[in-house]
Amino acid sequence: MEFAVEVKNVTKKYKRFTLSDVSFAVPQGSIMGLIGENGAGKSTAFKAMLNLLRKDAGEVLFWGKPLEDKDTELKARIGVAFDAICFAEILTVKQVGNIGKMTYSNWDAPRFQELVTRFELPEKAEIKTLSKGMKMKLNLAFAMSHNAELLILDEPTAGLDPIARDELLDLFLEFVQDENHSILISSHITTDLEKVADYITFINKGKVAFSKEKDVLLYQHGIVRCGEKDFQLVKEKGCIAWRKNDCNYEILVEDRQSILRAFPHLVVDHASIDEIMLLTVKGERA
Amino acid sequence: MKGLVFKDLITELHELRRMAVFLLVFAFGMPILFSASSGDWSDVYGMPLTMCSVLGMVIINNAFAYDEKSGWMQYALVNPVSRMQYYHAKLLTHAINTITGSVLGLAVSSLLAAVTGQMTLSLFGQLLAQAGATAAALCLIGIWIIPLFLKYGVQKGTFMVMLIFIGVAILCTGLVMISFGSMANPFAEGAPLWTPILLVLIVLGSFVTLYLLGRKWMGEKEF
Repeated sequence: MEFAVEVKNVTKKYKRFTLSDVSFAVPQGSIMGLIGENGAGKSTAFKAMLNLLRKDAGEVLFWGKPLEDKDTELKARIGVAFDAICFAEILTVKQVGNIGKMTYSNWDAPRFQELVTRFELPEKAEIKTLSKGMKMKLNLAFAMSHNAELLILDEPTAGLDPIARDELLDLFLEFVQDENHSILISSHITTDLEKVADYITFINKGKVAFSKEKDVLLYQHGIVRCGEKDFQLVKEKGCIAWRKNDCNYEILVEDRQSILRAFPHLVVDHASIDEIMLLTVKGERA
Repeated sequence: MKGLVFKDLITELHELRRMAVFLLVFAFGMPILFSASSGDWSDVYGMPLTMCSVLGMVIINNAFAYDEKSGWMQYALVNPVSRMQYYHAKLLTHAINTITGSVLGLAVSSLLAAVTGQMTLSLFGQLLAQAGATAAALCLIGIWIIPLFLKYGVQKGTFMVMLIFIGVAILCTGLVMISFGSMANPFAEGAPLWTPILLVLIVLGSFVTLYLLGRKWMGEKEF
């Protein structure tokens, strides 16, 4: 399998936080969702990948090559959109396009124009007059107008209404129709990732809790809702985490099928990404 | 790098529009007012030139302020731009600003001289020489400004630039005082040669040091 990006054992230490031994890989032609609560280390991981901070250990390879500061050709193959627009608010949409034209040798002006039209961005409007959703769309239009093969998107759908989010998700799916294109996307809105992601990487407290194929994750994991007596049995059989509600337990199990076989009388629901994340972070562990 | 300079210039142009009244007052009004009040019109043509050049120098603050507010630097570095290209683009923008300021000042001064019927070839030669010297000096000052702004941001950076300026001035004054026992023109005829050489070395040394520090700071910057 070829990877658009491989993150290998990346560590970055701060006084109060450590991104510890983070590893994951985005296969070419796929969408990987990076999930985790606020402060879990998603943005730090992005910055470490993009050389915006010095790594204490580990390496990041883009198409098998480390990203050097001077390697502008490799940088041009990556499109990035942070969670907030990084252009001065007095610039207009058109001027942002002109900056792109002057910055990227492979700038695709018709593509930028097409995206501006598609997103209904007013060309002569200054950024400060745009809504949050429009600013994010402009961010994406810029990131997607230089024939990038990999998009790294930090919370691109945050603060957008469901219609705008859906529109963007469609755009991401269109983007990966080309098998050379890949997306690494961080989001709190796990339902969005359930729609588009092929892989999910979950970062919790600076460490990778898991990095798996989404379908496998959703198919294998299950939630058992039961009383005290069954809880002890399921716990012995193997569970990831659990949470006690008023009078019953919610147990996250890794192998839904084996629990079903062992305890046919129990109801084992499919687990959503939200439930997996919530129980992994907040739940108790054996 | 073209994109970086272009971005800075359009940001500054936007600010310049806001500063048009300020520019008008400082480039035209103040020199005329000063000369009228003192009755000495001999320097009226030089003042607009200085004012415009200084405005050209300080306008880089706006570009930095917008960069800081929008988080542009970190975004620029994920574009096909290296850290050194970013650093040199800022120095280039500053040079363009100061040269444009001096050229604009030269035009304003020449216009003022022409309107008052004082324009001569000799005066134009003087203004041209003053414009060149001002532009060169202010371009060099950019080598102090840019690294400090990159390292400390606009507010703290401005303070640091002033500190460096005062530091270099104290060093140079101290050197002259030691050489001559009092304040004197170190470039005057008959003065010992080593004093002006040392003065030039101090100033050039400060530029080289700040430039190299700028490279180091830019290379190590984290976001």
